[in-house]
Amino acid sequence: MLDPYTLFDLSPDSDAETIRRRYLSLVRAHTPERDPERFSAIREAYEILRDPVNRVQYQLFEAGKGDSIDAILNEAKARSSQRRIPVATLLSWGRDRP
Amino acid sequence: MARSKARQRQKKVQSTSQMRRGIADAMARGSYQRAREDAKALYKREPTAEHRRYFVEATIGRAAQMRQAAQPAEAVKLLLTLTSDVFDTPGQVVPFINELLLAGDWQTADRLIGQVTDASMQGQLAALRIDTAVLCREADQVNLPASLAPLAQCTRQALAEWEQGNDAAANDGVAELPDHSPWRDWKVLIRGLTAFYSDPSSALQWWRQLDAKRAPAAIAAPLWGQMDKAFLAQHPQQSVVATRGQQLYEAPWITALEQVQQALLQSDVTTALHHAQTVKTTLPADLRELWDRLSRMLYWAVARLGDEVDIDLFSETFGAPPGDPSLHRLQAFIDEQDPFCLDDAQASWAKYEQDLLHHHIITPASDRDLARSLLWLHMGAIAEKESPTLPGGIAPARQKGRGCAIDTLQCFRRSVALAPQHLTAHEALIGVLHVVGDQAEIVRAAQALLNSFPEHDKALAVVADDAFRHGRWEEAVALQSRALQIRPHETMFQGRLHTYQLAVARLRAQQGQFDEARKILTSCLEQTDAALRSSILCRMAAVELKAGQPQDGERLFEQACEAGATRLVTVFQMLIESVRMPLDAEWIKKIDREFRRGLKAKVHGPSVVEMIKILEAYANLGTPYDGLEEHQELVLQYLKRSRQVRFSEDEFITLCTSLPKLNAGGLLLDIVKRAIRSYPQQPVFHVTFATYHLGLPPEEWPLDEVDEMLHEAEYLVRGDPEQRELAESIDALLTVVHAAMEQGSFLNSSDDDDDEFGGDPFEPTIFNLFEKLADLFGAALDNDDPDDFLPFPPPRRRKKSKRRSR
Repeated sequence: MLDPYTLFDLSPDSDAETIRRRYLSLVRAHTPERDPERFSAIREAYEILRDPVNRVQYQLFEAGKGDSIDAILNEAKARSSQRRIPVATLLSWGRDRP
Repeated sequence: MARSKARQRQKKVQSTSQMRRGIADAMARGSYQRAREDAKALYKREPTAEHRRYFVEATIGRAAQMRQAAQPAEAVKLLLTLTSDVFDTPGQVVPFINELLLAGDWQTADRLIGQVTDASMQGQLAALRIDTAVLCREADQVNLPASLAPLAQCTRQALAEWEQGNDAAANDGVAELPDHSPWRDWKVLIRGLTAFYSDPSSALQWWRQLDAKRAPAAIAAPLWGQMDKAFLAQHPQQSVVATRGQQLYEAPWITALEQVQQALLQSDVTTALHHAQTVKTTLPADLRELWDRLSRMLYWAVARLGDEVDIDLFSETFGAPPGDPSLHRLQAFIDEQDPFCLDDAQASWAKYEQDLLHHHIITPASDRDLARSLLWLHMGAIAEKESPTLPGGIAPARQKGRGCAIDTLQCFRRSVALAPQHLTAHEALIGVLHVVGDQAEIVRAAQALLNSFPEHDKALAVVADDAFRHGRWEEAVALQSRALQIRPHETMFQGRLHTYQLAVARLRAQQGQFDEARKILTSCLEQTDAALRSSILCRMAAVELKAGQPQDGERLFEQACEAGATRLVTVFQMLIESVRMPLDAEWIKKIDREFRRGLKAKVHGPSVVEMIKILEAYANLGTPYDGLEEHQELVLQYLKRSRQVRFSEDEFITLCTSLPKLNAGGLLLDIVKRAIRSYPQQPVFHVTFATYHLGLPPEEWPLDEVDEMLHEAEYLVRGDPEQRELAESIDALLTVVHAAMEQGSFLNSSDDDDDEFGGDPFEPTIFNLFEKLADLFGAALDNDDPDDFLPFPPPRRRKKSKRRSR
């Protein structure tokens, strides 16, 4: 599961009202009809963030647990393929022409 | 020296053609120094133009190697040895000047270029100067001719913009490069680069305009080759171009991450952490966020799979995360993985709780005490796993080295104190107090819960029950009514309210408010089912007798006898109510005589079971009346005469559940033994046998016998989902027995070795366990008599277990 604060794009010290407003704006943008998976992820995250006990329980025992090396590796590959080759490398190809 | 001589001897025997082949091979594999030596020797032997070309080519190659090895001055020095001869080998003029320019000797290069008269070569060299001006390293840029420096700088700036993703700025930067000059290739290269990621076909269109012999084409080729396999296949330096193109997709951090992945697949978190260190040294700054994710992910991997060594390695690699500044939490998670390290886990959590106090770990800060409360709750759960809380009647097992430093009760109390608004903490505390059986503490805890949660139905029921026990019947009715308003369909609450109302009715009768008493009882009678009519009719009879209406009273008593299952039980109920009211002594004597007469008759199984249940309810409620002890003794004597009675399995279960409350030890043991003989497949009887003995002083425990009984019960409940709760209780008891067996004796404990102790801790949550133990040891709830309602929580009747054969 994606970190609820990351999903909501909020800092962990956000107050209840900020969390609620963010939730409402997210569910309006990702309705269950249009984007059911995203909607349920938002709901799940809100269930954690809205209740102080769940929120603290998450911080103590769960935060960061949902990530996986596969997800990190996929992200690294995706972002590396969009990375531009350093100019220094390009120029070295020009200097050392085969 | 010896090797050089050997080589010279070898040369002496080599033919010219062999030497040529050797030089070509050496250059092909990049051994330019060797090629140069051999070419020099060959030229010395046969000073032909071709041999000179070998020598010049090998020298240029060697100079290039020196330049690449950051020795440009040495490269220039070597190249300058050729300046007088290079024009004798026209094919080498351009490569020679190229290398001279790359090595930074613009002065010599420009002087030589000035000597070139061939127009075609002049064009090539003009392009070469421009290319080198762009390609030259930062240190050499000061030597650039003033005519080239500004546009070269402009081109490099455009490339830097492209690298940063600022494509528009990159294109704008080279807009001023003249189209009808060698600068155009650089403009075209950059136009292609900016299109490469968004519109690859457009990039290829640009790059097709490049001069294949120049640097911009060499730069574009690897990228082009990744999109256009035909281009790559036809390229003369296919393998070099392909290798360079792979850099688009390959990065050392990807390789290292793949190694982390492989290690984790093998559950080898130590190796994963080692590979993470490679990721650390190679990951670009703009991918730093991935490093943080990797840190969090490996934190949990260490928590799941690691040990102390991995904690150190993690700390060395990532440092302590903000959420665990001293890594005590990580240590606690690791300890929790091992059932033999639960005490260490609790100690680590306790340290982490102090971290919460002294660091800004929890945000917002207002949640900090709640977080500490949750930790204490967790520590209590660990203590419970390590050493389950035992019911009050069972002597506690004390075993050296066993148990957490802070016991369950202390942990839960601390949890409640830190966060009174934390409902689970209150409920856990009440649960464990119930197992201990400390009624006064249960009531205190329930009152504390009600301070924060005034509408908590079960806590209201506890407090109502306490009021009832202390004779504050009206208060009990009011509290129970509130609980019932919250959960109107809860039959247990309905039953309790009913009980309290009956007590109020008696109070009203005692106060002379007979109409009020009649009203309450009539209402109760209307609402009750047939099984309870007898009891209420007895009470109504007592009210009429108290009101001086003997005829009505006797009529109602007879109705009660008709409604009851057996007359003896109804007489017993009437006797109790008569004493409690109290009624006229003559009446009491009359009923008492009938009761004693009934007890002298042949024992009737269902009657004795019902009477035992009534007595158990009084024992549980702690509300005595005059004659209760005598009545109990009479009923137990009656039960003792029941040897010939064939009790049903349910009746035996009721007796086994109720008799422990009546302190009828010997009789209980007798009944349990009979029950086991009659129904050997019913595990409840084996468990009762065990609990009876575990309630004795530890030195009197027949450990082998109890152990055997519990294992038999364990066998009977095994694999039966309906008996899962009983199975958990059996586990708890076996824990006690095994601890005692390991030590040999609780009184003379000397064995510190607990390595073989216990086995796996309980899987179910602690709260479930409390409930189950309470069920096992609590008194049975009897819906047949309103006085039998127990306070909190309601024990249940046990269903018949499935019979199974070995």
